[in-house]
Amino acid sequence: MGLNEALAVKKALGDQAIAENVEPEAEYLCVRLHDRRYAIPIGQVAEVLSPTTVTRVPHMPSHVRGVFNRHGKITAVLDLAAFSGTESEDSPKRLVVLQHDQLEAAVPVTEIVGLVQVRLSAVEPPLAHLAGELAFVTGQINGDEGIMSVLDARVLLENSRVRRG
Amino acid sequence: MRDTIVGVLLMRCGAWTVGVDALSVRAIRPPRNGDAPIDLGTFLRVGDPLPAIDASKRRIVELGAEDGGVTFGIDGALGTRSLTLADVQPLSPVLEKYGAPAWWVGTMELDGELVLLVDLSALAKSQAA
Repeated sequence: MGLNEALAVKKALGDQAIAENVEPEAEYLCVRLHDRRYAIPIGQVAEVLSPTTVTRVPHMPSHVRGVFNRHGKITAVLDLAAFSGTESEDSPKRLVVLQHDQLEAAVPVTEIVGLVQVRLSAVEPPLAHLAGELAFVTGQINGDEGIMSVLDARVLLENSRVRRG
Repeated sequence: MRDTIVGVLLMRCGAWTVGVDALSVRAIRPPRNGDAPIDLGTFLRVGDPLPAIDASKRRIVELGAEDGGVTFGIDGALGTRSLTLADVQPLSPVLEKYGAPAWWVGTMELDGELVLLVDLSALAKSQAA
C-alpha cells in the first residue's frame, strides 16, 4: 500500500474508526537492509525465501541483480541498495518476494525484523531526500528503534518513478 | 496452442547456453577467414572471465537473408530441441519494465541451468542501430 492508498484507507476508515473510537492500523513486514529499515505492506509480500542462487543477466541495469527459479517461474531480483548507490548485500539472509497485480520480483534483505502493526496516523511523508532518491519510498514510520521507510511495491515493480542507476 | 512445437537451437556462448528459433538460422558452419561475426559469448558476458573454450567447437551461425544475413560466433552448437510452449517462459514483465533488451525474449531451464532465449535478428538490429 502506497502513501496515497494509505491515506485513502485512512480517510475511508477514519469515520468508522472514529465512530468506534479505534484508530485504523496497517500491518507491515519490517526488514533491514544494511542500516536501513523498510516497512512493506503485508499485502504486497508474496513470500519470504531463504537465499538461493541468483543468475546474473546481461545488458540490465545494476539494480537488476539477476533472476532465479521460484517454483518454476523465473523471477527477477531487484537490489534496493543499488538504487541509492550504496553497497549491495553480498550475502542476504532472506529474499522477500513482492507482488503487485501480476508483477512479482524479489528483493534481498539483511534481516527480517518482524511484523508490525502501525496506526495509519503514524505514517508520515518520507524525508525529502529519500523521496527524491528512492521513489518507491512513499512514507516513513518513526518507531522506537528509528525510522522505517515505507516501501511501495507497486512503484518498485512498475518502475514508474524509480530513479535508474 | 499449448501443444505448439517450436524448434530451438541450443548454443554454448561463453558462460551461457542460448536458445534461438531454429527456423531463423540458415547455416551453422566452422569459422573461416573473412568472417566478422558478433561474438555472442563476449556480448552476453556479465563480469566473470569467459570460460576456456575448445576452439575446434567454435561455429559461425548465419541468419537467413530476410533476417539480414548477419553472422554470430558461438562456442559450440548443442543441438536442436523441440519444445512446447509449456517448456518456455516469456520474459518477466518486471524485467521488461526495467529495460530488458528487445532481443531477450524469454527463458527456459535445461538440466537446472537457465537458458536465455534470444531473437538473433533483433540482436543484430540493436547492434546495427
